[in-house]
Amino acid sequence: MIHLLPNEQILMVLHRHWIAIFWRFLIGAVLLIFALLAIPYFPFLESVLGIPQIALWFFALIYLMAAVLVIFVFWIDYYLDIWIITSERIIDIDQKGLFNREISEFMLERVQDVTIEIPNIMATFLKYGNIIIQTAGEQSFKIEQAPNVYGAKNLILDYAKKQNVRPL
Amino acid sequence: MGFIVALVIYILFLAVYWAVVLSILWHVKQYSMPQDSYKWILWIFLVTIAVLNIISLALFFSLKL
Repeated sequence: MIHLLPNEQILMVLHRHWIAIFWRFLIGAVLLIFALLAIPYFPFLESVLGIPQIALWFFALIYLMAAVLVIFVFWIDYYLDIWIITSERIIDIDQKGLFNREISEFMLERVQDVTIEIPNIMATFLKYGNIIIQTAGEQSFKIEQAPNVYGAKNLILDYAKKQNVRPL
Repeated sequence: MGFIVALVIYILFLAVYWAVVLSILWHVKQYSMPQDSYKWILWIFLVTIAVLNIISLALFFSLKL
């Protein structure tokens, strides 16, 4: 879990746009459909190979269980990729597979410039894009395939401005 | 004898399967945000997995080994 600083508030939690998981889910759907397509051939397979239909059903089910698990892992990889915009900082949590995780963060007071990039026609229609944040003295930070890019950009700039005019 | 071997392989498969499922749930518990609105999708996965497991158990014990 994220430990917030004193007086720190979570302003926005961003997941990637659903299009980021769509193609993976499509692969999962194809895996599931393979099993369903094989079902009508079970009587034929029983007569040719001599394997009882109940055993074929059992193996089809094991295959389905594995396919559902693969889709579940795809989902969790998407679900745990999060950007958290708080009143003090931006936290980027990058889930890479099941046991590999990368967390980076920087303070809003270091934000110098925020750029929005709508990379293609699909991004235009589905309303997602990339947010590129330039920070003082460091390389740029990119939030890819984020929904609500304009809201996020305004929020970052507003709070970055507040951080920079805070009295000492 | 054939039944025992099949049972051991099946139990091993289920053990590995549930180890992965439980590790996913552990990740969700540890790292998901409390106000997240996507948690219902996890329930769909869990119910599907549980139903498929129960049917596979029933089919396994119906196999003539």
